[in-house]
Amino acid sequence: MADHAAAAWLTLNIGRELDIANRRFALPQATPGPRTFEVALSGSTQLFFTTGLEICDVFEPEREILLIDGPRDIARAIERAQDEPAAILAIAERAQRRALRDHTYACRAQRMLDLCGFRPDITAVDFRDLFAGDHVTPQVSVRV
Amino acid sequence: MTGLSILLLDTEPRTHNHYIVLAIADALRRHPDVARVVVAHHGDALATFVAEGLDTFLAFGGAKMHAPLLGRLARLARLSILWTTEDPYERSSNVRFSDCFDIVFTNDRSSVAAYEGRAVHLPLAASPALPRLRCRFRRPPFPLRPALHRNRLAQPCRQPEHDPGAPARRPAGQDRFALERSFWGRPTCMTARSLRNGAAATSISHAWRTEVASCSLYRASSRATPTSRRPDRRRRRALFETALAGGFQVMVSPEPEVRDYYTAGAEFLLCTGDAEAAEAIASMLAAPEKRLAQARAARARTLANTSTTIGS
Repeated sequence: MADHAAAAWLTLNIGRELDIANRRFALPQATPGPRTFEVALSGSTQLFFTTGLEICDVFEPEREILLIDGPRDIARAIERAQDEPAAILAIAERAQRRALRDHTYACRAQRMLDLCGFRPDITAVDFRDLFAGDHVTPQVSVRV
Repeated sequence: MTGLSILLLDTEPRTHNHYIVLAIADALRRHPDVARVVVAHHGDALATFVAEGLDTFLAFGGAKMHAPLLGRLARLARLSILWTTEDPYERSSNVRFSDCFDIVFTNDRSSVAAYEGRAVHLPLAASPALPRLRCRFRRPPFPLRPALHRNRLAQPCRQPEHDPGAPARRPAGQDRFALERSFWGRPTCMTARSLRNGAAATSISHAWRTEVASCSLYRASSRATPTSRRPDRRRRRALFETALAGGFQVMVSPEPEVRDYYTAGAEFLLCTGDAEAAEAIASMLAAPEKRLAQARAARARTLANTSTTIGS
């Protein structure tokens, strides 16, 4: 998939809307799935089918990702890719930088261990202390 | 004191998402506070945890699968972590079986509240190491399957592998697998899940990696789950996507809406019941040129009438 996305001007991300495996639940998942981050890291501009606004927390609309709501939006994006290829590539580049900065598993591992309060010299951890504050926005950028 | 020694367990290792576990292991190994990461399997997790003297247990996936094993490992560990990836779909069981973990991370923000203060939102992510892990994809993610179909369409038709000596995987109470077994012996996991849950479009190829669906059974009758929000819309999508992918379709329906889009007999086969469908499938499998001709006709019509092409 990474190779396909890297070679594409645009990648259509239909998210969970057409999720075959989980169709039976008829439950929309709030958070974008891993493919969203993988495509960004691959360096492709995504057309993200908008089912919720949480995508705005992980990528900035228009600057790092293009939100769509139907075929007309896709057609417009294709037209834009033909008219302004540099702008489309710039979106892909910004998304890739954002993914490298905030959305790698190294970031998640850092976040996880931070929240677990791991200290090499401490054996007892009170996990009730770990849930204060906002745990959504990654606080630490990690070298990858 | 040295860093964490982590046993990482993929609770559902047979899915195509196992590469994510490898990416997480790779990331943890690079963390300065982590001394060691061992990726274990259900069969050797307990023995490995004890023998290796590990102190941290990280379960990735869900809490329901092999809950007793997860509970024992969590009790053994100084720090036990669950990172659920199946919320909100399996939220109730994840909440129920996650009690034994010290901390829970859920991939779905809307599910955090269900854990009543024990969970933190942690989305999935990407890995720069993905290119060297990509061989772990056993079948392509859904958006790529049409492209894969098209690539294979130009190749000579191959019959799916059939191993008469292999034991059939028969899920309990699944009589509807009889159709698949009669042709391929062993249904794929995907087929099993799709049929069990009344999915409208069912690929009955033996496996994506050995043969892209050369023949698909499409149930246009209302078999979708009662809770489906827009079953008709989704069934139509499956119809178009399969056609666009170059898959030949056999449709079972008394009042098929499909006549509005395709011509029976020229772009697909229309059957009134499973028995007739089975005969039609057998017949078309024996006539690959005829099958591919109809598939190509359906694809051409889809391209002409209902598709949007994205340049690359």
